[in-house]
Amino acid sequence: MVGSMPYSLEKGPYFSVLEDYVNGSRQRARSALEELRSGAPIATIGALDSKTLDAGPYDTAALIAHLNTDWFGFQHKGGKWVPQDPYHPQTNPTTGFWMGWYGDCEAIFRETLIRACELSLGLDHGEAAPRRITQHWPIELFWRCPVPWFEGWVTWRRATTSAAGGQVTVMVSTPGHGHPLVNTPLRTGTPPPAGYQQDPASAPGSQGMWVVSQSYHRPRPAVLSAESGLGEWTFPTVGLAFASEGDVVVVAPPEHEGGVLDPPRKWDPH
Amino acid sequence: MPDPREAVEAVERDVTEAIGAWLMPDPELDRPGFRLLEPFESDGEGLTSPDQATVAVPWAWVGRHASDAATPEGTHPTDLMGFLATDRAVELRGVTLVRGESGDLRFSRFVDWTSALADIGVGIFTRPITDAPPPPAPGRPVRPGGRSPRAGTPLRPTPGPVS
Repeated sequence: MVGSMPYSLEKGPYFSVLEDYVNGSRQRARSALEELRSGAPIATIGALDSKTLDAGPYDTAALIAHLNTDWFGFQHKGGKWVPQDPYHPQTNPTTGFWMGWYGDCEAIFRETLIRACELSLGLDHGEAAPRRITQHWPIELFWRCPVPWFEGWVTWRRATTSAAGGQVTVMVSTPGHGHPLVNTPLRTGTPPPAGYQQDPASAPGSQGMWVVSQSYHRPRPAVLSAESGLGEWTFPTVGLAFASEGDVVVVAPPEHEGGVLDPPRKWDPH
Repeated sequence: MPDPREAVEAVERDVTEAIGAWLMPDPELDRPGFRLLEPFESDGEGLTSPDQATVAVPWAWVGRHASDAATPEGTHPTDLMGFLATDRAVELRGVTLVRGESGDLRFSRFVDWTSALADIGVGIFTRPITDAPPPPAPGRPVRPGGRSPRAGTPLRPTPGPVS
């Protein structure tokens, strides 16, 4: 959540820890669902309180502030987090740090997580969780950016009838937020950044994520105002166009840039 | 040096020729087709540079982003930017700089495409994209895969707080 997001899809440290928070304990998953349903603040349900997310200036309080302010558009007034002001085309045209979009991010995110937890625990929507939970499918989370508006996608798949015999996959699709994409999937550096691999020959661990792309995407801005004769127009591409070039590569992104570690980063409360 | 009125007539032809097939001047629209933007519309001339070598012509074109019934797919023959007809009303605005002599005029066009695209419902959602250095030339050895570092690996501090 906090960071540059140089790839257009990520899991990274934050979603990895959130996954472990709900997947690591049935009781925790049920408790999280109950809190989400009751309207408890998403940022303080517990997942962000993790030693494994402390880095540089970002402690738990900073992460909570980031989620509330930048994602949900909340304001901190009188010691409390209050919802965003109504939409106004000039004074309040966007929510948080999302570009070109205003909406109820918090409610969308909350419902997405509720639905994911209900699917994981084998519950109908709104159904109370039983004292003894008999199903607990792992939830996998991804963040895709940019798209025009904020939305959550929830998919599920049952493989067997065992308690962990299925999977819930969540794709949080968000508008842009101003942090740049990098037009190559490759990274340099010795040693390579944690989690990074290039053209892996095998997948030995319990999880991973690869992007398949050409090695470089060359920007191709169009020049429209060059002088020409009558009727000799040059029509634009929509935004900046790209011509991809180079080898097709398979890259595991670095974890701090949205990739995953194996074994995955755990939730570890303070 | 271009005559101001000739420059305006040439720009009207230039715009009509290029845009008219894409944005059809539907008579049901308010002021369809080509017009000069105010305050230039009233005297029918653009803005001439002090050295009289350039005439600036601010203009607007109003039309409907309609399909061309002559094509089986109903798309425009020009396939402008790849967008199929939306049937929406569009106002395209621009300024054309006209230079040269009669019979050999040259045009530099500055067009507000973003607003026109918004009129047909095309939004631009993106993030800035850094132009990273291209990777090394082919022939570099493939880096073998392997296990990632341990999950306790500290996060790399990020450049700064998100604003």
